[in-house]
Amino acid sequence: MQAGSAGAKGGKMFRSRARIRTFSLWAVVLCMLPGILHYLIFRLVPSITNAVLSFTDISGIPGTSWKWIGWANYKEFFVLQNVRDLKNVLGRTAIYAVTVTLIQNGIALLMAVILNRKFLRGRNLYRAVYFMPEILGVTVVATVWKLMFSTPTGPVFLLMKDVMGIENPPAVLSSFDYAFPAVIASQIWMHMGYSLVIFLAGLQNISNDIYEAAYIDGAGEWQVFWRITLPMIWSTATVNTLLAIIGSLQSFELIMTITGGQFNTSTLGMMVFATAFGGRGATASGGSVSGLRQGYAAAQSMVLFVAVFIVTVISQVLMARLESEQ
Amino acid sequence: MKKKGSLTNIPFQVFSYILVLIFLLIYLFPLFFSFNTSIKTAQDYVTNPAGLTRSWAFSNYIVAWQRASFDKYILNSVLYTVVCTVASLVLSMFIAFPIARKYVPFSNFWYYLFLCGLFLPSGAIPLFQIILNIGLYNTKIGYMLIMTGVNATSVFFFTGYLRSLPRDLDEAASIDGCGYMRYMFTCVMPLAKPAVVSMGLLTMIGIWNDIVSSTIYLTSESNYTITRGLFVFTGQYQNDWTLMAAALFIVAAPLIIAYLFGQRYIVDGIMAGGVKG
Repeated sequence: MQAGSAGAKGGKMFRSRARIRTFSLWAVVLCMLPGILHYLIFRLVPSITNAVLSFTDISGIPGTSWKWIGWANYKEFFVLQNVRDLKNVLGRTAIYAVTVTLIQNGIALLMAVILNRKFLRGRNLYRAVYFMPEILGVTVVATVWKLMFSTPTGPVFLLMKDVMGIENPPAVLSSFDYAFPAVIASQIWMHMGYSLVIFLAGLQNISNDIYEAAYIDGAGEWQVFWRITLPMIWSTATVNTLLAIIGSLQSFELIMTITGGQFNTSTLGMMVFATAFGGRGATASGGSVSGLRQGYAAAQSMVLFVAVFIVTVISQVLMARLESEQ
Repeated sequence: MKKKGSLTNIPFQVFSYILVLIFLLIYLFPLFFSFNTSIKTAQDYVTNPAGLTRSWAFSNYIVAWQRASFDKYILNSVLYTVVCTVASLVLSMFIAFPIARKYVPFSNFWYYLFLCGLFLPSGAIPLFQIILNIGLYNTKIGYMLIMTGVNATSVFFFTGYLRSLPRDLDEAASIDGCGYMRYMFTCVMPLAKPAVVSMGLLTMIGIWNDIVSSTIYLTSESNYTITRGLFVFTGQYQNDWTLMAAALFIVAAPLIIAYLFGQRYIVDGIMAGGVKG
């Protein structure tokens, strides 16, 4: 791609002379510099030094001293922590990632296949509506769902009580059993449109002729989906799976804004945030930790990073194997 | 095209429409319910939570605006959004252009260096330590430094777009004695308008909606954003649902307007970022 577009008229000689004849290298480099420096200082260096901080007891409180403490943070997380807490938080993180990835992509794929069909009128409108929560952002979406799940006047409560006839419907967002599924549902509601848009982009690359031929040969919708659509957008599905896994394993914004990590909703990402910067959800059971223990939080986030990495590799291998089996 | 429609069997069409409508309901109902609640008096909401508004209490918006102190935060939000969006776009453009044209040595290296940003973990904790140690914690400047950024998607998107601009233009401009900066601002950026608008809208929306960084870095109310104000407000007035609903629509209004006008650009940006990213 690069060679093609850069390949102007002449050969190499002409191009290198043209470079001198256009703008001075100094001006070009000087203008790049602020962007590069900003990226190095505020993106690359922090990202890499996180590993270093995980071996210290550094705190977020200004003016406190810190020292190297070796593997103590990791030991605290894996060994000294209450086993049930550890299991809870890791399990919950896994459940969050798996359910969000599968349901979000499943719905998005189904809706994308439908929205890609020409017979449907108002396709752009539907796409715009499904994508809307992504634009509204976490805080607004969280407020909407707090309202939806509120007791005793929220629609979900009324639905359970008056339509489904449940006698004492739970207060969903302050229930240890239902708060977590509710947060998962909000997460899927918010980000389904994103996966949908990416699936639609993939579907648009498939030529209509293939479909036309299949339909003329008498193939049914189901066959067309399994034999043509799915194989042809497998690479898009792989990208979407990757994005959803990385996104859901790390994401804690909705947890933070809806329940604040209380009522058994804290995942590893939420724990890192609450341990480092304060707030509930620093422990699996929704408690808080004092002292802004950023060294410990850095170690937790390294665990999260390794988890993301492993899950990503496994999912990519799995997707590739499924593809070759088709 | 028409022929294809007739080839599709009717049951499948019906099934499709039903599914699309169910999801429309799932997506529109929560928003409609929130809006309906936002124009009810508290009394009306408690006695009649599910029904349509009878009180048409648009004054909720004024009360919510005052109670949530949005008047104190709105200017901050506008300042952060404008400054950080413009800065991010300009920085990304100045990175993407030389890479697209191969005007700098190792342009592929720079390209992939910025593309790494998509996969790197966030590094929120070291970033916090950096900001703390250079004395910019809880300052407007510090927050803006964090929210500005050469984001990988922009570099990727711009590089792709700029490659399609004719190279002759650069030569013509420089022969006429047009300086690099002037050329970038008066020629390249206007020509790359669709890409700039796409990335600009996405960046703006991201900054306006930010809640994590503003929670971490801004502790004084005088630095709060309107989104942060909404979050604090929903925590304080937990049972004032009508005011909460009004407050949420105040924060969402600019987003909804931006979405109405720029929907195509926004979706284009997401598609481009997602397919290759």
